[in-house]
Amino acid sequence: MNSVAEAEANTGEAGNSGLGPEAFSIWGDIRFANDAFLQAKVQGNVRAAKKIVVGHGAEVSGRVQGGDVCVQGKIEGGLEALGQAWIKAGALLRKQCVAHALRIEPGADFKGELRVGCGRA
Amino acid sequence: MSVVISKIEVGCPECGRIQLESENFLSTVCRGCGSYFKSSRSSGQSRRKVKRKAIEKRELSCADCGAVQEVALEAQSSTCLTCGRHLELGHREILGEHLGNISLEGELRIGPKGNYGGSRARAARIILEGRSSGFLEAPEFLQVSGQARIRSGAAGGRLEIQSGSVLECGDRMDFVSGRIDGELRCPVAHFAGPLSIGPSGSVVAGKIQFQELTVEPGGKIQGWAETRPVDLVSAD
Repeated sequence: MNSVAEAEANTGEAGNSGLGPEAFSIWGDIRFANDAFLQAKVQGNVRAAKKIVVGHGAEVSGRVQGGDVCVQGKIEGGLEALGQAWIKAGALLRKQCVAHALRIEPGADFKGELRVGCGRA
Repeated sequence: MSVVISKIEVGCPECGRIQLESENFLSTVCRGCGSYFKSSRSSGQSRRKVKRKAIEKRELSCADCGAVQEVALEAQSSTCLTCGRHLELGHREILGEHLGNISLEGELRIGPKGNYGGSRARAARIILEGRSSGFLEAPEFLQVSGQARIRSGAAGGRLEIQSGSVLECGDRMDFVSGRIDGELRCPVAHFAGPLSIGPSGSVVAGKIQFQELTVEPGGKIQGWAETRPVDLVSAD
């Protein structure tokens, strides 16, 4: 599984050596070649070839795309999962959710366009 | 042959004078003060109580005012003691056209060729296989099978749309929970609790609100959606 530090960032800029979401911010789009666990603030879009977990405290201002996507943090720009998407309790998702299958837990905060099982956006 | 009647001593409750009376006496007059008094046997203390068979009862709440009363388990109808509304407790089946409001505490079945043309039908459980022009209210569940249509909205406990069935609703759907294995089309679908869409289920709505959502692989949902905060659900 990739970590944020290993990610291929188009215009990446790390704040300091800490890996916590408070200390780690990235400006620009990032792309993961394998499974990924994101624990940072990202001003841009995130794309993962396989599974991606947007961890607690992580924030993405843009769109998150991946195979299976699990959201525990915040995504402002929408989500697109080729497989299954999980929106966990305490997570926030805005704008759009496109997935093949979906589970939104009680306590999750979603508002936006919902398209599940209807093909890609 | 003479019959000997045994006597007993009886005390007057007013003056306390003791006098002899027949042992079977029911009432007498005191020979001292003239007051009239009854024997303890006739005062009802020793009367034999008639045992009645206990009637099994159940609680029933009025559809209009919500007042709760007890009715016999086998009763088919009753009247609300608070507002006077007639309460029909049995089941009903609509196989043709039906006009007029319905309020049942039992089950309402609208058959495949049935058409409910009244403005409002309420039943604890509604099985819809046909059409309804009026608003349907099912506090326990609304179950849809076949090709069903509701021109007005519907509300209740649980919405169940069976596999291969279609429900087209012209107005708001307002339920506590939902299990969709067929197809649901409506402008607004509101679920205070969980909404579950099975592998063959499909929901197309202008606006969808829920507390939690599960869409199994193969299931479809499309529309503008919003989660319902958990604290709002508990406040209901």
